[in-house]
Amino acid sequence: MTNVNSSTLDAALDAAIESALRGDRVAKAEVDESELGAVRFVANAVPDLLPAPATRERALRAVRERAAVRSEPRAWWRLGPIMLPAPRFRAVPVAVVLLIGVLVGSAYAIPVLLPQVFGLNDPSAVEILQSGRAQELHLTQTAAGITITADRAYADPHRIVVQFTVQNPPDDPGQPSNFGRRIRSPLTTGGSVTLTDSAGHIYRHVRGVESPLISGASYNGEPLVGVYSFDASPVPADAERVSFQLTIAELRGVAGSAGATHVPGPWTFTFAVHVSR
Amino acid sequence: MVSRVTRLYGRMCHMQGTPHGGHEAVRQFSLRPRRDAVARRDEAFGALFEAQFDRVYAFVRFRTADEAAAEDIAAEVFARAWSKLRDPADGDAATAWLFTTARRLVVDHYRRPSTETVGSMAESAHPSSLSPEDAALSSERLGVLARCMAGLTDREREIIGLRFVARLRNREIGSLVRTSEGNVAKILHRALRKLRERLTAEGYAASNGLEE
Repeated sequence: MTNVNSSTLDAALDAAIESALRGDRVAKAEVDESELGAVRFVANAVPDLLPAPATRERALRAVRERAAVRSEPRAWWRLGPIMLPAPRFRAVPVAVVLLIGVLVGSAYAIPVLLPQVFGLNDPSAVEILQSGRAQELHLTQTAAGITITADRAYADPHRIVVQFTVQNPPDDPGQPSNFGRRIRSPLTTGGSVTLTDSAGHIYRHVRGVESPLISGASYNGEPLVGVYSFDASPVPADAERVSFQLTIAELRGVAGSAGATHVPGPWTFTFAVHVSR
Repeated sequence: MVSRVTRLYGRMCHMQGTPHGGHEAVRQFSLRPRRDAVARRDEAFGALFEAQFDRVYAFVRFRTADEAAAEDIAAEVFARAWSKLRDPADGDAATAWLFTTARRLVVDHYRRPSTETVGSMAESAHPSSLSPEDAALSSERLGVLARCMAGLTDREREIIGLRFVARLRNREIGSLVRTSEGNVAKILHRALRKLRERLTAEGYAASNGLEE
């Protein structure tokens, strides 16, 4: 238990230790003689424990080397070769990669959605596209301010199927507004879709449908989706892979509609497709 | 992101001894605030090393009685400080952090197999700057100290080391070893009395520097 006397003694011993460590003379009055002797002896031994200059230099080099080695894993996310962080943080990049994988994977797992009307017009093409057998293309071409994407294609000895999307049909200033909403002209490729291969064969268009109307038109700026089927008889019997060129020559308004537009292309896509057998 | 890359790259270049590499890398991105912060931390860490390395080394050597282990552990303390100590310029907090880490590493050192005991303190090499006579005296003094310290408890040895070698005040020692300042003073009193008894038994009296 600390009382006034012991506090005084503690303070006196503390002062004596400080004096001894500084190399000053220590007054004996307030400090126990035996303790003072021990204080002096330990204080005199302390300089013997200090490092030599060479020791300090070696230690500084070791500090630099160790710090440099340890700073590299901390920068795992920097540009260059990927280095995993320390084990306790290793779950973070792994989780990020897994999350990206799940998101991308789920995006591709979503079935190809096509308007119901496609199934009425060309059910086998819709079945091919929705079963995931078609090859993903995602080729984009922009002309006259309109972007068309060749989404996917499929080829077998009997037929070739191509799906494309017109992303932004043009504004039609000739149309009236309907309750404040702009109305756009129905738009179609008008049968200007052609398919050739690298050998110069022209593939006959056997069936085609464009949304949202069977006749092939887009109102109010919705993307126009087209699914076209071609006769595959020009494909060589032993061909495993064929290079095609899809051309959409023009877009035009539906005949007879007010303010019909005509947008000249062409939009051309070149791609190679594996022939399923 | 780019600024963090720059800062870490700068640090790495600096730590790896590339002449001005870190600062050049930082300058390319024109990130003056970051560069200043890195430079300030470098300077603060350098000052901390200069001010505290000898104390940390001596404390670890006192506790381990092994010069090689003391060098290794003291370097490890500062390497950890480089990566973990938030503000090397904060004197009291930095000192407390250094000795807390040093104590832990000393404990780890004792847990390893084939650790030398306190009795081998005198066998350690001495600074080459000492004359043979001084080296012999130093060796003798350390030998006696080691033998006398062996009769103290580990807690008493640690508090003697923290007070005399690390030169921490009783309040700071109390925070480190989780006891009160008054209790630290009591332990010191008790340890010094024991030490004096053992020194007397060793034959160390006035002629050997115990008395003024």
